[in-house]
Amino acid sequence: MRDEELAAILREDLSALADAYQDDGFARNLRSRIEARKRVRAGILGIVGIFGAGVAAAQFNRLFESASQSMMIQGLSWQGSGYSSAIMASLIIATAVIATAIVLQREG
Amino acid sequence: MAKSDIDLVYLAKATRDDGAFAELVRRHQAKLRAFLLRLSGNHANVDDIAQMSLIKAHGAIGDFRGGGSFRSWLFAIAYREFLQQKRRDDAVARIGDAAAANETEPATTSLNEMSLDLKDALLRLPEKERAAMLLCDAVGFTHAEAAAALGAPLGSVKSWVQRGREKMRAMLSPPTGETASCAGQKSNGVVYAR
Repeated sequence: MRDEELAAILREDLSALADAYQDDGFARNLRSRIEARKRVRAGILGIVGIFGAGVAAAQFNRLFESASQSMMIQGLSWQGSGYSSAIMASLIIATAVIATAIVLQREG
Repeated sequence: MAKSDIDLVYLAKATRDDGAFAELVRRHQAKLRAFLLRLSGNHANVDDIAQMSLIKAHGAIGDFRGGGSFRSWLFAIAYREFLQQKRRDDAVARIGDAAAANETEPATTSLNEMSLDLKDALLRLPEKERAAMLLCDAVGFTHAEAAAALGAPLGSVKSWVQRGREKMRAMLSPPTGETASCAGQKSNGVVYAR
């Protein structure tokens, strides 16, 4: 048996196997699995992000309160905007979290 | 006009386009799984290895530098996955063998004169010769692509392919007598071990 004949036998065997595999739903299942992994990853990031944002907002709130008090001493106040320092801190943190999520999404 | 593999890779990298990656999967998954099946010799883990390989490829597509073909890069990931799986299976088998050693007789089946098909003949080859031969002769890789996929020097891959062919020829040639040489004889479709 020559090399070409042997290669032809192997090629035919593999082609027959590949034909059987071509449209058996494997690719579709794989895509679903990749998308599911992405959703799990996004969920984990979301939970961690919310938890982190909560912790950070609590710290920010303290900072904002002390900054607000010192500004009031100096005759300045940002509370004229009508928002409490807690809400302002939460808005800043939420903006940071959203920006991070956008970057992470683009990075994949 | 259909996009080339490299175009799809760059599209997948640049836009994180899952559609581009899905097209790459559609193009290569069948041959990849067929290769893994002939390499491992059993259906049990083929789809798991292929799936894990493709998921890793999806995650690492940003690392593909384009120095070689996409398929050789993909098959390299799959080959590494196969080796890892094999090591795990071997470890489990060793534990099982040790437990059964005192209970069963060792296999005594003679390999001579046993009728073989192509699959069995392939499985008798050393793993590297089998992989190199499958990639070059069955999948249609160049020697350089096979070397990239197997992570081996080009010269080694060439000699593995050559040795594999010689052994396969010997196994696939029908016996004509106890002392007859098989050189130069053609297979008639019935396959025998020697």
